[in-house]
Amino acid sequence: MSSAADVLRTEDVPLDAIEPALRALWRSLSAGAPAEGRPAITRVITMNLVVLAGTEADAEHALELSGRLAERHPSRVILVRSRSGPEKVSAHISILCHPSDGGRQLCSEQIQLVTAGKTALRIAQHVAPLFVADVPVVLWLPRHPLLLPVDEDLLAMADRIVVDARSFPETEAALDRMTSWLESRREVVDLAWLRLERWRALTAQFFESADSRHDLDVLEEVEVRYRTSREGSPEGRVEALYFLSWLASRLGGRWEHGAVRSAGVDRFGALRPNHTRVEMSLVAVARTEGACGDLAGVTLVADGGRCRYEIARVEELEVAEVVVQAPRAGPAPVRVGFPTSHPLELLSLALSGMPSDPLYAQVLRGARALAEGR
Amino acid sequence: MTAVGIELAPNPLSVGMARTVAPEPCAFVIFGASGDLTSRKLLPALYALWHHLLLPARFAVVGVSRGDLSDAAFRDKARAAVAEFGRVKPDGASWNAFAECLSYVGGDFDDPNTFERLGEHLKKADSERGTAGNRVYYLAVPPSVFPPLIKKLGQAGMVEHGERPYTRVVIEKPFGRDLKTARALNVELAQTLVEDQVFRMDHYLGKETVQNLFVFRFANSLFEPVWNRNFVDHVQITVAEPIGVEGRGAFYEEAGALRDIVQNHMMQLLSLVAMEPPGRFTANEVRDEKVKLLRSVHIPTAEEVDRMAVRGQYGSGAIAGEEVPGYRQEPGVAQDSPVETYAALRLEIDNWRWAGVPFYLRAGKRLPKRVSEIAVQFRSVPHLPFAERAAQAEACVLVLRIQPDEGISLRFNAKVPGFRVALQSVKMDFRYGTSFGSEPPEAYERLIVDCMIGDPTLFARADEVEAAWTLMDPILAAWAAHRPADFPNYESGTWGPAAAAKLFGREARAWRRP
Repeated sequence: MSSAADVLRTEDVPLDAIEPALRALWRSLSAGAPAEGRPAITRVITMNLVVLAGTEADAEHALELSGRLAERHPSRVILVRSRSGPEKVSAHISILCHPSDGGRQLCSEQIQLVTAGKTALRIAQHVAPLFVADVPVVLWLPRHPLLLPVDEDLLAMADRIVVDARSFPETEAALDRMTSWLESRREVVDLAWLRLERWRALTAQFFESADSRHDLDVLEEVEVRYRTSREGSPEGRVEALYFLSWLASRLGGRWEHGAVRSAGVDRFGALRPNHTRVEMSLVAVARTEGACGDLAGVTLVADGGRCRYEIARVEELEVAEVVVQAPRAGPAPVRVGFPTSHPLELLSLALSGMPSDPLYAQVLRGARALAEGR
Repeated sequence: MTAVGIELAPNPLSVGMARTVAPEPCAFVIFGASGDLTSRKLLPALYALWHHLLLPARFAVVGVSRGDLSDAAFRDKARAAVAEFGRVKPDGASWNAFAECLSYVGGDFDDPNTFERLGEHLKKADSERGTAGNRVYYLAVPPSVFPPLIKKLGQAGMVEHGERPYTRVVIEKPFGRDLKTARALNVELAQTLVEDQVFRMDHYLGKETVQNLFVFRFANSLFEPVWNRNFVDHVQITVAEPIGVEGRGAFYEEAGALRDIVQNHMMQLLSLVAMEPPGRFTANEVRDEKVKLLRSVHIPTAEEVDRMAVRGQYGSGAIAGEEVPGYRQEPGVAQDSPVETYAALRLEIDNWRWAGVPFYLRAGKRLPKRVSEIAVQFRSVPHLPFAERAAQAEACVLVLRIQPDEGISLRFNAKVPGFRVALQSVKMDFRYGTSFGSEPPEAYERLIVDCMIGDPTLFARADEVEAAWTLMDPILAAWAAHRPADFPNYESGTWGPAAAAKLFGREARAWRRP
């Protein structure tokens, strides 16, 4: 998708001189563009994107991704990295540009803050003065937040928190933390939830036609298969829990009994308002390749087993086989493209201007209840 | 067949998806599968939709055309077309899955056997690909073929009216070449189809920026209160292109700018910018308001045409530094052709909102740049309290840029820094490309999905087409009655004939330079 931005100008500045230094940079770039034969530049800032990097590798990765994102989401990126050493905060500013239609360059900003010693505990105070007014503040936590210096002040500043539940060492911890944020009226976007978009769309498609819609009312079994590094491991279950929770919430289900686990399979039951029971199971499949947590397949059975809907991902071919076995449906499986979600695409989606997703809040709470066996 | 009129409850699983309503399984039949429109627009749009999972998995595309072609050859051609013209390029897995949807039926459209074989082919698609009997017939064929082709479909029993399975027919402009032929076409369509089966495609309505007109006008409290004769001085709508007829001289000789652009695209823009707010954003309420607006436009008498319409034809000149020939030197064009490649109108809307506010429309080929925009110029302030350089206060202008560089800008006056009160016009700019991260869907993508889900809001209704032709007819008649004596009357690469300025009369107005 997006190409890396050109870094037009970059320099180290004292913390209290960031804004004047940026203004001076913009002025010199604007004035110098014609003389240097460069296209005119336009400053575009659509959000403040605060990135907390846990490690140097995270910081480099985040810088690379945010540079690529600048074309779609021109922002003031404030990247905070912590180092050991004597108490000190240093800053480094850059201006990134992409060519655009009409021969202009669209440019945005990166501010890197390096905190050391106790200064790492006061990130909110460091970043607050740097926010561009009247555009949202998005806090992106590329790593498990328990490993990052995230404090309440920083969370309170964010209009949106972007995380990836896969980065948490434990599913339950991830769901707990995100639920607590939601309960504090914060908007949370989990990349793990966004990865399910294709699965949800394909599942919904089964029931778009009049012939199959009724099968939703007589759904009896749902099986979700997810990849994990070893069978029976709790690792990487979060997407599978999200999927089940989503389906249950859409069907109006109430959990009837808690999880029963045996031989790598978690079983749940849900009682629907129409008093029908849906048996749901999560099946861990040993991973051959690809990331843990990816779903491997979904099967839905309805109407006394007469109707069966199945999506099976063939990871190496980047396709999914879609099978419908129902009295009125064609028997042959059809294939649809099913590429692995690219981190850049997911992040771009997470930053997009869509309003908060009320469905996600419901799904998250449901997934947490499932994870706890309630 | 399921009984007509039974409302299917919404799919609870679609809530919160990219589209709340997803298309049902269906077979998408393209008549004219070997044509330009199919290669440039339809196949790339279908593939982009497929790639983004906005089409059902149980889906089939059936190409129908005169020549013989195997399914494999059709897939190869489709792949080449998507690679050349698509915004989403074919990639291995996604393309291979899409290619499995593609098949081809060769045959003459006059031959009943073609429809018999197509019927059998579609039944096979129902059983093998689960397309559930739903059909979209896309007529990517010349307009003269619409009536006989639809008649043949009707005779073959392939266009029955029902909600499920459904049958819909998409036709592209031009919908007739004047009011009489437009009415005749509507009558012919109505002999086989009911109105809600007919989707008249004007791709302008599928553009994000055109749809944003609804949002801009009806979701911002700032602008709607000033959107009337009390505050607006005049409106200019421009659809300009630097290209000539691009080898379509013979087609253009039968069309001209008024028929090709003004009657459809520009009337759509006019109705969207000037219509009253609909009570709800439903297909019929929106289209009712558009029709009401078009019917409020003053229909010129034969005597008035000369004062409110100007035509032009390009001569040779230069575009982007390259010498280009005049229209009459283009292949397929008569050496004394009277066909206009430029049309400019001054329209007045006889209703309370717009009485006395002129709407200036212009469309032309071989103009300096490609631009489609609507410029709303507001009245000047009644009194300027700054004595010094007061004459330099310009009227505020709001420009809705349809393409390219899609966005909205507002021009207003600001004080020039310094000790004196000096005014200068400055611009606030919103650009789609920078304010939204995601790439908008192409117009065809949007409209194809709308057709598949049965939402005709962004398609023209029969009465809407007729209302637009009602406005064009007197101009066409007057122009046909008097051959233009001064053609060619503008050089390629200029903003049209000088005579276009006469539409402003003695008013202190002028065409914008977009």
